[in-house]
Amino acid sequence: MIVTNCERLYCRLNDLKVCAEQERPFSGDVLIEVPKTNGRYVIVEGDETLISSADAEWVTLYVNEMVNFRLSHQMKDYVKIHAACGSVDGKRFLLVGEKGAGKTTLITRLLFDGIAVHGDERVLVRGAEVIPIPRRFHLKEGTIPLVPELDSICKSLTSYPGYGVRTYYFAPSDAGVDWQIRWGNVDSIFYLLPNHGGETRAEICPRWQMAQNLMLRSSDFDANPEGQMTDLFSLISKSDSFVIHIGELDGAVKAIRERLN
Amino acid sequence: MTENPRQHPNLKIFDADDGYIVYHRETDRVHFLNHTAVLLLELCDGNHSVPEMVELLVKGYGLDKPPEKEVMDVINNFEQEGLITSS
Repeated sequence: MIVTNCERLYCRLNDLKVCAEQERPFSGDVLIEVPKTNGRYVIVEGDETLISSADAEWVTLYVNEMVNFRLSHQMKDYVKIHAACGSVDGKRFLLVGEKGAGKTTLITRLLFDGIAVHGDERVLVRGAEVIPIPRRFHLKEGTIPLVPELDSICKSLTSYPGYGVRTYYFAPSDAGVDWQIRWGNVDSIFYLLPNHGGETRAEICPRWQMAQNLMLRSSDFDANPEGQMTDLFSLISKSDSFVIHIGELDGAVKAIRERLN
Repeated sequence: MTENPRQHPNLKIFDADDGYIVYHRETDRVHFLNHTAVLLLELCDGNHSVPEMVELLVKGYGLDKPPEKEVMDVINNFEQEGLITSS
């Protein structure tokens, strides 16, 4: 729970709120108070005053990171894959790739193509199932020209500094679409390699190679590496694996739909 | 390596259908093996010398030329990474 006496800050914090129908694999109490006094926001957790600032934008991002940090501590025993997640006709897929590969841009483009999208950043692994870590999609300014439907939506959102550019915290519900965050098996894994400006092509990826790709894009193997690897490889063995060299987005959407049908 | 190599006892092997993922419990390293490397690791059972492995690959894959250097490179790699020991 975040408590504040400042309506402006309250509205900003709502910019980051996850408004999805979600299963909650974890629960816990976090109380952060942010009273505004003498023009400054004071961030207090429990009995501890952490920091103060007059910058509402900065305070919003700081509180958001605090909440994410508390959440990540609860998730520390789970392997996390750096992946976006969606589903077509009940078939769930992951888009995996390093930063800048185009996961968020592609998952947002898929949303406007009528595909259900669940997350843009990371998923937790449990057995052969995954669940997206609940957070709004981080849309960089550069994504908007690539997905024109976002233009009018982002005009009603507040942007924040992030990744060196202004970033919008977007939810599928901002586009009038249901947003569900649930555990589920994975039917297909698409590893994205950027080929921006070039042609899009897709090819089958051997499972042992997908395992290598995923491990490089995963974190938190410390708790129980063998058990966690068993989960990760079980997920891969039950999925189809592809590499998409992602150039133009339409080609990537077509490639994903074809392989999920 | 002059003796018949044998897999290290502390390996956890995950079968990925088209390859292996091998976790070495002692070094805490993960290795990704394609199907040819899998075959060679499987032949490291203490019963096959490296020249015998080469011969088996020639027969199994119908090769014109024995891949001695390639097999030696893989076996040396296995040894460097601690995946095999001399039996």
